[in-house]
Amino acid sequence: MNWNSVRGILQERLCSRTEGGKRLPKTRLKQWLDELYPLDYRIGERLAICLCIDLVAGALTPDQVVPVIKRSTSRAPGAEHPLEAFAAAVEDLGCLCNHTHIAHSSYARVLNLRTYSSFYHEPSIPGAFGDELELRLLKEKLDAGQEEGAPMDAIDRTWSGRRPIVWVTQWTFVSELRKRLGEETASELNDVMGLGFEGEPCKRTFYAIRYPAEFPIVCRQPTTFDAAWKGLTYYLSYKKHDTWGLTHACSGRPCVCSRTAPAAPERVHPAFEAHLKFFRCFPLGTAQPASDDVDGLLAAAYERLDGALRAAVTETGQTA
Amino acid sequence: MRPEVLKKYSEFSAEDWREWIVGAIRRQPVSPPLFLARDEDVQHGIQDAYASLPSDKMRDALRSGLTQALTSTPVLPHDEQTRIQFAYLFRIAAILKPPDARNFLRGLLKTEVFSGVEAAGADLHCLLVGVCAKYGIDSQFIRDLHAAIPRIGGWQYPLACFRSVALGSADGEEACRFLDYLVPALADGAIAAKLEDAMEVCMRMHGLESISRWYQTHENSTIREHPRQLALLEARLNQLLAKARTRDLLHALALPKVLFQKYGPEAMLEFVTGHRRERDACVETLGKLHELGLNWKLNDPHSLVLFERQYRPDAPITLSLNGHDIPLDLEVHEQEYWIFNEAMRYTEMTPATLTLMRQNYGMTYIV
Repeated sequence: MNWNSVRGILQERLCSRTEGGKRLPKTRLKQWLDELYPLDYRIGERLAICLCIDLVAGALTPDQVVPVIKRSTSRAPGAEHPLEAFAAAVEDLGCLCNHTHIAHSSYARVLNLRTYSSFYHEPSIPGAFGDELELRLLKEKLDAGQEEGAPMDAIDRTWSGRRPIVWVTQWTFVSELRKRLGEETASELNDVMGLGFEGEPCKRTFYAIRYPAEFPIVCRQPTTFDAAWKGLTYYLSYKKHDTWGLTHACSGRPCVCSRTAPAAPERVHPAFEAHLKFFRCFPLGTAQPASDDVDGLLAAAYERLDGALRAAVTETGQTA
Repeated sequence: MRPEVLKKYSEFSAEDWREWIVGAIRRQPVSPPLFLARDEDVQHGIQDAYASLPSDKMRDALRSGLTQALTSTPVLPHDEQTRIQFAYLFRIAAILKPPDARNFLRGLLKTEVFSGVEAAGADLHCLLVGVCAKYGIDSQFIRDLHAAIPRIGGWQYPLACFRSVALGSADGEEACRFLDYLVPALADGAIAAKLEDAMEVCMRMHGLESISRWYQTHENSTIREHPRQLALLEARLNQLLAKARTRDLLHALALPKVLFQKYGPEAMLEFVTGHRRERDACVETLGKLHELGLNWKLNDPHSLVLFERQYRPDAPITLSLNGHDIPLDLEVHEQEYWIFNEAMRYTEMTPATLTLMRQNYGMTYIV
């Protein structure tokens, strides 16, 4: 598997007429891929691989992908960074995975102190801000929920992120890690969930928000459209029909680093507006910055694409 | 931060920063591009850019650019884009505090131009209260805040005032004056939860003394006229006490009273046992309860005089009972039993509670 394979797969899937009658001109695809390939940290290359995986796995259809690439490329050359253009094109597209939903009973969202403050605490509490002093007070308040979780009944804002998408994992995954690792949980999650936060402590101080049992909103496997591409993130698409995505660690493969946790299952759900009375916030500690292995990430991306193609061939054979 | 990005930032003038900040907020393409992680917002990107700048000169340029962004944004409260832009700029200004923006922000606050105006889920006037308070609290500021209350009303504004002043002032007294307006406006439990958050901030900054004093002053006047709101407040005060540090409780003259009167001796016991490691503080708190006449009837003819000597850190506490001085750390079972039974006559506590208290503290710390 290499970049040429990616080009070939995308051309094959997107440049012939799709079921919905859409078609991406070859020149436009080529122009887009030529812009993506040289980007720093190989982010553009990974974006294209992830799209391939989603297309091969059936998580996204060509009819969904073609308009996005058209929007991403319908700008004056050089006017906008290609990743910004892609991010803008998928801004309102989320939770589109086509895999059949399988219910799960206990979710958790992992987020850092700064996000908690700026998206939920500050908008809910008039006069609240996210400066160092207030973040310390907020941390003190949230850290009190070590055993039972801190209540979130003062929060009444849309449960969302910058985009109307929320990433969740399994509560059991987080709680088992907490039991096993204690204060090291944050460092492990920062790495194994591919969060990769560094810098100020408020970015590296993590909390797990435990969802109430039988959370009614459908959570889907994430796709390339759900991931953030405007920065060094570690998202990789994944072909497995258990309707869970799978994080990739910042530090690369488990065999070459010190972490012990397995990759985390992940899903996304759309934003919702509700009181968070039944949600609880559990402190996970402050993480050490994770080391990054961009080449390892790309190698894993190609492996996942290879796996997806093999599985697709097997499935086609079985169907035949 | 990548070196080429840093190099570009280092060449930015204040005007360049203004353009970059406004462009980022409007989600327009900016150069260098603003890269954000999954759950990060524009304000985080600007904060991070500021934090990455290596020299004061570069940081000052960014802060001047922020001032320019504030002052050059048209004040059009009915225009959604303008409102959103101000909401972001206020949030960033509260953190970076550009010095030359102070008067402009105070002017916006004083003219109440954003009163009742919301953007991105936040009340802009309340944001202004908070951001202005970050520059320091002075008497004129406090007067301006109070003066606006009759015009603004509601619960959000007094809550923002209470919280912001509590954070920025030397003690909690000024802040608690805003509770006069806030408590009658407590419409439901959700607002009460926000009040608890703000009271917790006040407690962390100044201890419980000011809240407790405010409660003592008002319990028989203002808030009694609002029984439903009082119930909400007391329930939240109860939650707050559970989070209090023992040294804060030493000032909680009125607050244990809330707990005691509302929930009775069992809850009181729970409250004290939550802090039993701090023996001195427990004795002090119980002593103060006693001063308030809560658990003992001081005016009773038998005149149980507990804590005859006021609490001192080194005190072996002596109980004067019907003319007998009894050191309370005695391990004499008969005497203890006698005190116990005498005490029972003058207290509303149940035998079970007193037994429980005795088990936890020994008689020394209870009677």
